[in-house]
Amino acid sequence: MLILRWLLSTATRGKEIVSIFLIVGFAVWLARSPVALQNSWRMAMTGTVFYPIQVVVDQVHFRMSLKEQIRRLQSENAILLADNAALSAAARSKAQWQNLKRTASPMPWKVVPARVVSRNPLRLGGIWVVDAGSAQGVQEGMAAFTPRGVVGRILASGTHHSDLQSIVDPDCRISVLSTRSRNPGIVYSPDGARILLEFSATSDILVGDSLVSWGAGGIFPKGLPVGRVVAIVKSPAKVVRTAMIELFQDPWKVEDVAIVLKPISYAVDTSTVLEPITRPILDSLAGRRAP
Amino acid sequence: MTEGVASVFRRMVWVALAVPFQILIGPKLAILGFQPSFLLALFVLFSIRNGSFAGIWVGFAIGLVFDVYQQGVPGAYVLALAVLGWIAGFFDEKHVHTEYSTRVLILGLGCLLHDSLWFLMGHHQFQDLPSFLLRISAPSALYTMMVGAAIYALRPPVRRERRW
Repeated sequence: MLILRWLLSTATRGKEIVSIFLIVGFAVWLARSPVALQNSWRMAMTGTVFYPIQVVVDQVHFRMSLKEQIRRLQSENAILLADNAALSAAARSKAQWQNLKRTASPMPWKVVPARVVSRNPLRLGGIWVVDAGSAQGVQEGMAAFTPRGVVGRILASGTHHSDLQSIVDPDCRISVLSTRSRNPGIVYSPDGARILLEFSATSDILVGDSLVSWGAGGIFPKGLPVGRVVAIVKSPAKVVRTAMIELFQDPWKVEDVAIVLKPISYAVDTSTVLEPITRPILDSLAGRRAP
Repeated sequence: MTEGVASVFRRMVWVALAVPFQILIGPKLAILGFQPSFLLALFVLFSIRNGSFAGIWVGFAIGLVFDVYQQGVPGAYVLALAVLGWIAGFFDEKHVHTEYSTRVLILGLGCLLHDSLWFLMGHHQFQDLPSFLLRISAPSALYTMMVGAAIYALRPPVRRERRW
């Protein structure tokens, strides 16, 4: 009874009861009014009373949608960048392969493309792995090159992979010729970093000379670009001299190579035509005049 | 502005802040689709602390915001929140002492009342109300009571002398 009295006294306080009647009347009127009126009421409210809230809500909405859009665009951009990188790599490979084919076209042997799939990223020289093997015709002793120059030679071949000995490996040597004087020398790396040319003290090798493979030894075909002489090293030795070489093909940048399908041949390179030794030549060497 | 009116406005700010909090955080805390109502928890506490009159008009204002921005029959939120504020204001702490557990119970019942009014204002059938209350409203009310229990623990009831 006491609770009932309290509830009644609370509920029937003047301003509260008037307020609640007003609000109930307003709510019921609004709920029962036609949809068009409800919509126009909403529009009027958002344009007047709730305009500040509308502005804030719009800004929040705008920023949230912007954030969502940025997140979506970043994700799409990452995918596109990956696609672009893959396509660029493919295009680069194709261009490089066409360059290789162009370079290899005067050669009488077939060439196969190969990608360097493993190498020591910290050391310049050493053994690399390329993705072409005996299934593609690759055998031990075949030369690898890029359009810029010689890269190395095949040491061993598996079915689909081969070990490639870089020209910068201390165990790799290549005989070269100066394109200017046609004098020979041997290019090698003493420490897997520097590239040197060893040549006779009587050879005509000067700074700036371009070097191409000689073809001697049966591995590297004749005429492949190798490097350029950048300095002659002064040494007390009078018989053999040394020069610093800058390779045409930077070994760090090698990604794709072409392998010449030319088995090792110790026969004299047919493209090297030696002059026959005639009697007058012998006489001139002996310091005698021909009769 | 007197101290009492200033404190009412200060508490109104808390209820107003509960609106974006409810919209942004509420759905993320949903369990099996049932989300707690921080807004109702704070609004019921507001009405208990400030009485029916403040409860009615703050409920009206918040209901107006929801009616304008939410889909559905306009007027439903206004009526439901104003009536909830009115009823919860019966337990005005200046006149009647309510224990902590009673406040949580008032919150649960208030949620059911709010949902019932909202449901009936939305041109639904009266015979569907029990099913709606059992399947949808009661789990949310339970969740809201749990949230309310945590909120109300931050501000426990002050024991006062009854003046009625």
